[in-house]
Amino acid sequence: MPATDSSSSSSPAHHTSFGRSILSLRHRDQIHHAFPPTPDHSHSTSSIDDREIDAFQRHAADLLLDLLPSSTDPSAAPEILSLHWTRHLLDSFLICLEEFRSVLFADAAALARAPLDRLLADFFDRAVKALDLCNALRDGLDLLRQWRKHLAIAAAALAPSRAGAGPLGEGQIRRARKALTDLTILMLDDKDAGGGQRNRSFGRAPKDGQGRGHHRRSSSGSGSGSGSGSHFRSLSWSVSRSWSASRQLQAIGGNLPVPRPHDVASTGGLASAVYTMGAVLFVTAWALVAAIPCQDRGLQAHFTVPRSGGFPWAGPVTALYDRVLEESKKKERKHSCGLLKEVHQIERCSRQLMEVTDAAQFPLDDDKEAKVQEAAHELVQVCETLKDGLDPLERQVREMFHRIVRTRTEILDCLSRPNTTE
Amino acid sequence: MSAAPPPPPESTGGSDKVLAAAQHIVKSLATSKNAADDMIRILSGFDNRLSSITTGLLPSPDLSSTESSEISSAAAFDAAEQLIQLWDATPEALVFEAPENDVAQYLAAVDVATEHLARGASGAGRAGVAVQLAMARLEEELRQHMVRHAVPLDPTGLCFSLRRFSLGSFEDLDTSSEFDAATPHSLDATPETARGGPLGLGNPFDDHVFDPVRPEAVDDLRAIADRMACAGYGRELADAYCSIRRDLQDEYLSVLGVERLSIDEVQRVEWKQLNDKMKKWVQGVKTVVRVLLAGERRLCDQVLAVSDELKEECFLESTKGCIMQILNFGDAVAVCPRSPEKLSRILDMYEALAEVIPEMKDLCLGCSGDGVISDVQAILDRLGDAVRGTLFEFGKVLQKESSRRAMMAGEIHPMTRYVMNYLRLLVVYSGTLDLLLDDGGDNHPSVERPEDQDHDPEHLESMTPLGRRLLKLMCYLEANLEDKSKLYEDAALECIFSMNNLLYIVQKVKDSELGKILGDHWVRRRSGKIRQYSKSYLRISWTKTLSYLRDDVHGSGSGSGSGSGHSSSRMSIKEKFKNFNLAFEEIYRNQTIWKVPDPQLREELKISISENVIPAYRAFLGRYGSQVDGGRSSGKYIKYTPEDLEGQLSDLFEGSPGSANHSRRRT
Repeated sequence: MPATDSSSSSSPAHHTSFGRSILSLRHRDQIHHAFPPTPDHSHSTSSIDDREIDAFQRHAADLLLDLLPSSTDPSAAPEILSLHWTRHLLDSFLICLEEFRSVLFADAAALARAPLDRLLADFFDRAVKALDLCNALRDGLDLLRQWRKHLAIAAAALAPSRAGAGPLGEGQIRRARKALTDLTILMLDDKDAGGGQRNRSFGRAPKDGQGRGHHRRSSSGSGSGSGSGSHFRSLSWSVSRSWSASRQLQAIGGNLPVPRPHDVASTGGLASAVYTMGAVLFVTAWALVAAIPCQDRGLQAHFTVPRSGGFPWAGPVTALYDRVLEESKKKERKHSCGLLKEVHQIERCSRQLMEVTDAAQFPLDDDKEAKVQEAAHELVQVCETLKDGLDPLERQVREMFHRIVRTRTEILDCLSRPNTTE
Repeated sequence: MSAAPPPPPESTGGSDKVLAAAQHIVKSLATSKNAADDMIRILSGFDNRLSSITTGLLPSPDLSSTESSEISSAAAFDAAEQLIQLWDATPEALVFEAPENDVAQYLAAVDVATEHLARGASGAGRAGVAVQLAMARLEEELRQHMVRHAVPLDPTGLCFSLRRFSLGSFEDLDTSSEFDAATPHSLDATPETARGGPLGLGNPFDDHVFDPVRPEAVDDLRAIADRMACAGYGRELADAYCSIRRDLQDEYLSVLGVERLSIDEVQRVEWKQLNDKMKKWVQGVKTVVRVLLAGERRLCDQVLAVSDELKEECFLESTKGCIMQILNFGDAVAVCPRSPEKLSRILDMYEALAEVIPEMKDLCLGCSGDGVISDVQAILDRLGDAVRGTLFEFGKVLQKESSRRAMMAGEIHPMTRYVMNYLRLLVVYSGTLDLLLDDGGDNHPSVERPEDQDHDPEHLESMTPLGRRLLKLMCYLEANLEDKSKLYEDAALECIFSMNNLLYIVQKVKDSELGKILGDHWVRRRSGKIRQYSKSYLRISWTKTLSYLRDDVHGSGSGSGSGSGHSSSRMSIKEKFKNFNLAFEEIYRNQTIWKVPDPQLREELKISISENVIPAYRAFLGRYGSQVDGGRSSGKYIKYTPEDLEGQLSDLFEGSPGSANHSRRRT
């Protein structure tokens, strides 16, 4: 079995802030041996332990609860929709998926029996749709990385530690302003284009006198020119132009079948586990789309869990959903291309710097210099956060993808194997 | 193309030329205080006169003194700054579209400004601004130049060399996942696969080097990159380079017909179209790696020669999207619903990807490409999983196939044809399949059927992984056929059906690599089985008919020799002829419709029937014919001569109602 990335640093096993109960400690132990070989069906336990399934659901509830701001200890959870929080979210998802998997394989023979086969097929249909989301999110993270590069240019230009350490010169300010202008245009483009459209206006060499429309450079006023008119963005490589994250979310969460009591009974509770995983999948995907720029973002997908169902995670899922939705409605975030805290910081930081340096006289007076330095300092910090956080987050998104595929493959293998039906 | 500025002479490197130009500026400025002004005036015409003026100037002897060097360098900067600003004032114009000398002047000016800034001499503020202006322009010039000199990818040229590989494979098989009898079976031809041809012989693009930028522009691009890197604008350079390369590659991909499809979409594509897309992908992935990425690598090395670090970073960064796009389809296929007909295509994809991975590794120098390579490897693994899964699925479908379509004539079942052709195709991929199916012994011993002699552990151990799987699949096929044969009410037809199918299987095995894999023993056992079926057929079908021609039955009649005995014996003989005729005619009626498609088997069957029936009839006729002959209705009893029978027997198993006239008169 390929287990190449189970040992990556993003493995949930290394996350220490999870698992409060003895139960979850036990689970973490299991996870530590991420992806043991497919359980041998020949000596599987004869029936699934109900308690296993309850434990799985309660642990899912705990994990989701951990993602919500705690009333007693506000410092316990990372700030919602920050990079750090998003990584937490993905860790929680991966833990849930892993436990889901072990709950299912506790009685592999049961998987092929109705109605569980049908429920699993439905779940994996939804999970496959999440794969596209993972890809789109990865592309979105790549975009954040591009943004960071522009920030880094600005940060480097303004860095107080630059050699010579003289006062900031006009050249440096212009360089920073150009980088930030390019960045702003990039970010605006993504919003306008709904994230997906790319400008395909060449590939043919322009004839003489033509194709010069792109070439708009101005050096006066706004500082050195920006070539942004000819920036052709490549946002998403993985999904077609018509693809929509918003629609995909609706497909993942829409009409998530609440298991009927006799289904729960006839599957020994596994129907509830499938429902739980479906809900966790949805809320994770939904929050990720909320946080990270991607093609045709939209959070319209509605999601409700029946109160009467007795699902321990119903409260936390709903709270998480509401909390993120609330965040998306905040005035300053409404038109953002991602609710990620760092995206907001990028916007704020670059705007501040642009304002401070607008129509500046050189050499800068001390007051201005200090303001620029202050803004630059924040810029450096955002850069650092992004630099440290983006790669692991991207790895986790890839991991989410891999594990969904792998779990699905295992289940399908299990169903295809002729001897399971004997 | 003709609009491109002529490439700099090969003999002098770009930097030498620039240096020379810079010297000219320095010299000219040193000679006259008004020179700078003059020069601006001249330059503002954007023409070539500058060079003719400056070349006339002699080196100033004062240049050796430090003082004058400083003065002259300040003056040089002044001129450079002026030139940079001049160009900046005309954002519509492009330096790299101007005459060659202007390009050299501008680059020299950039060098002067950069150097001035680096020295941190007085006026660093101005130098910073000048450099920034120049860099912003160079960045833009880089984009424009790269686009203007982009070489379009000619898909027709590539298609020509690619066509060789696009032979069909499974399209000869039914495209439905069922074993459909209605589809014509043009299957007995040698299976062909997409990889069929000269693929192993080497890189078909060895002679097809694709340079994404016209060679004459590459030096210009490098000159820009050098300046930007030198001035500490590596980040801007990387950004501009990557963003433009990404977009151009996107264009190339669409020219190559590599579509951007989401996984979800691929799940919903119909098999026929998916099949086409998969075929295209197999070609596409090779073209992308061998043509596109190799071209990008060369371009990267040429343009960004200034820094190894930039070379690596930009190659990876600029090709990442293109690689992801190609790989994404691999993922999409790997998670497609499993169905047997996809197997060969998935194997093609697997092999294509496996083939290019080493080439990709070569393209990514150093370990920076490890991330990409491990992504590719992960997709390769998933395609491998899909191959295994599809084979499982095939086994399952094969076991569950239960079409009750009656094979009226007992002929070869479409399922048998489908499965055998399928398995023969698998053998073409035996190298890959042995690799993929090798689970280090067998993890699932429960699947084995110990009762089958083919499966004795030693024999199994000696087989390849694919061989073990084939054996298992054969086992499913034979078991399924056995179930189907039980559907016949007529036990003789059951034998014919089993014989036909088994013979087909044996033939398909013998004339392909399957024979080598399954072994002589396997084949011999099946041949033996066919002989048994043939014996059973004779017994079941003919014992009763022949019994009428037997003496002992006659002998059991009431004593011979007596007159009354003679009479009753005559009746009995008549009865026997009648019964024989009836039984024979029934067999004729039924078994002319039955079908034995293999001519040799058909003949052998007829011969063994003849050998049993004709001599017995001839003897019976010889012995008792006279007793019946001459009677009132002797034709009623002796309807056939042995030759008639022989002739009628030849109509059997032809699959069409016999032409014989049953009431044919004796001649």
